[in-house]
Amino acid sequence: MNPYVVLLDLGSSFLKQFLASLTKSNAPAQIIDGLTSVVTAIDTHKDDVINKANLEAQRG
Amino acid sequence: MRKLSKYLIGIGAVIAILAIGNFPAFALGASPVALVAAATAAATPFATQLKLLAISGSVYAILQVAKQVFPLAGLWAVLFNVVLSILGVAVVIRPEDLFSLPTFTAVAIAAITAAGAHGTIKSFTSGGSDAPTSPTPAVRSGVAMLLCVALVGGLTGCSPVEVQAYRIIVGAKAFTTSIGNSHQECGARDSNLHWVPTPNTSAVCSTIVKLISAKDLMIDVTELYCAGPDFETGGACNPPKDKGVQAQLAAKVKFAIQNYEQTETDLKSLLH
Repeated sequence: MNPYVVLLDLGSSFLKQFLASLTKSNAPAQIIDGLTSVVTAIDTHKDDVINKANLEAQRG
Repeated sequence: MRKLSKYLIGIGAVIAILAIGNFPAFALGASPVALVAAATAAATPFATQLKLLAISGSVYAILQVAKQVFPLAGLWAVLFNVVLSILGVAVVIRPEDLFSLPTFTAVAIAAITAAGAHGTIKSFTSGGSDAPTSPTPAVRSGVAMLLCVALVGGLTGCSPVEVQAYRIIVGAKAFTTSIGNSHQECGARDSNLHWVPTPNTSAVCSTIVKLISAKDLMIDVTELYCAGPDFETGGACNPPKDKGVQAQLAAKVKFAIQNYEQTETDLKSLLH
């Protein structure tokens, strides 16, 4: 499992800080952008009810 | 002096174990100071650390009670401590993380902290000498009660399978959207925000298609896991009630997550 996924249980603030430090590393900009959008999306959807509509909205 | 050196060795061991356990994060460029600052600012600050503290306390309390019944001492006491720590961590750890370095680290920290608590309380009750004495029954039962309450509180913080899967799916959708926007030669999003690939056989474009398929597979198996009367009519997830079926479907969810993560790793290595 990827480290940033494992760190999810510590909360999205923790993950955001982790990504902030990752930004200072030499990872490509598009990967950092991708991971930043992951954190934002998880934070946005953290209180979602897990139903069929919400799952289907993530397709494609 | 001898006691001080014992404590220093113990503190050094805990720091070494913490450093090994966090190695993947450090390898990706995370700063230890930033990690601690972030854990403090998290929605549930130090959630994992509190669970470990509760486990260590419970192990200590159980050991004290067991010592009243069985002649536990020396190596047997250490073994009993480690076994209880393993059982405690196994309860709170997520199934897919069972055989991992973080789990090993958690067991080591729980066992060392329980042993440390034992030594510290013993030194207080013996007035600072190293002579072996036991805490009073009132102290033992009070500590046991407090720590059992803390353990129950810690256990309620575990995320169910469907919640873990949903988080990863949401993250996967965001990641594939972000990477897709960076590679418009590979395709574009339609009005439903579904990926429509262009005829491009480059490795990156093919892997983006595979990554989106892997994400959709996670959605399929999560829907299978959640299937039930409420879920099928628009309600919340209905996890299987039968333990055997639940374990089988949870394993499928786990496999789909691993499949997605492997494909994501492949794409990242192509983009580096």
